Amino acid sequence: MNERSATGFAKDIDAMTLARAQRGDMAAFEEIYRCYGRACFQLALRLSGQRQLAEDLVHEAFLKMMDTISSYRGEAPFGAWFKRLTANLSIDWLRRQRHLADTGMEAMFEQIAAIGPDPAGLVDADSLLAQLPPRARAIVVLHELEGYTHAELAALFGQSESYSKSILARALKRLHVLAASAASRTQVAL
Amino acid sequence: MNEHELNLRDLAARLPASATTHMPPADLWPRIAATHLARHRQRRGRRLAIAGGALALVAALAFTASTWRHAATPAIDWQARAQALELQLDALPTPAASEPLARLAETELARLDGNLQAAYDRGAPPRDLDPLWQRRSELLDALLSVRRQGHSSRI
Repeated sequence: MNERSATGFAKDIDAMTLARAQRGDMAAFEEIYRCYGRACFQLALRLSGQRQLAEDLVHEAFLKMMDTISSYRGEAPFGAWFKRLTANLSIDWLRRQRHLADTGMEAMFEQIAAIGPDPAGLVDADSLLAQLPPRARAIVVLHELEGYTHAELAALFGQSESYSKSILARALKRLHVLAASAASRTQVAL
Repeated sequence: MNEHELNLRDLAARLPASATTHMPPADLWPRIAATHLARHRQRRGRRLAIAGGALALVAALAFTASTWRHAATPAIDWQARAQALELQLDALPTPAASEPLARLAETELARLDGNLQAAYDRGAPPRDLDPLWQRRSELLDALLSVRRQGHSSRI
């Protein structure tokens, strides 16, 4: 989570594999899966917060990539193109499945339960992210990890830029509070 | 901490590495590949059915039209018609791979061209050449229709 490249979308795929994939070659698609499957799953998991949902999203993202790869013209690196496809499809899909219900901002943050003590006494960034309501988590992941701008988030969620800025600020503040609270609990346990 | 300084990377850097496994299940790719192949086969079947129907319709129309023209008009310049259709066909983008029905028409056209050449070589009279040019027109008509359909479905 420390480096953007760690997501794996920064990896490059060779031109030959890409050309074969654009002709519909299944072996080339499998190579693309080996290259980006994990990154795609990681992004879907962070956006959805659920493994089963993440599997469905990866499934849909790869099917869409295989259907639309012939329209990829190479203006951006393939990994960046595929990452955007995955993120857009995930948000769209989560919205359609009503996982991203647009509750009011206050109600959204009231949903956050106090963080429970981790069995190992440790709290990692992913378990903290999982404490956020779905819409706030998606905004944090896309802005902080995937480099989306507030203008892009506004378009994606059909809201104003100030809406995503406000949610992001509140979500980050909440994450810091949750982290501090978990850390103090760990201290007490020790 | 100042609110403007808050960001996820700084926070994550202070926390232990994630214990969650981010590996997709081993059977995910086979499932994706199976769904893709099934959808691909479905679409291909639909396209073939549509192209087959269109080809049959065009052939029927061409046959009806040629019968009607034979009855209604004394003579049709089939050679000029075939050449005009060939120009229309050349104006369409060349498909990356021919549809099976288009391939059939192309094979038949190649065979017909051989017959035409042989007829010219032996100095065949117009009454022998005319049916060959007529058949060539009908095949070009059908091929044109398949190519146009393929082109518009790609758009």
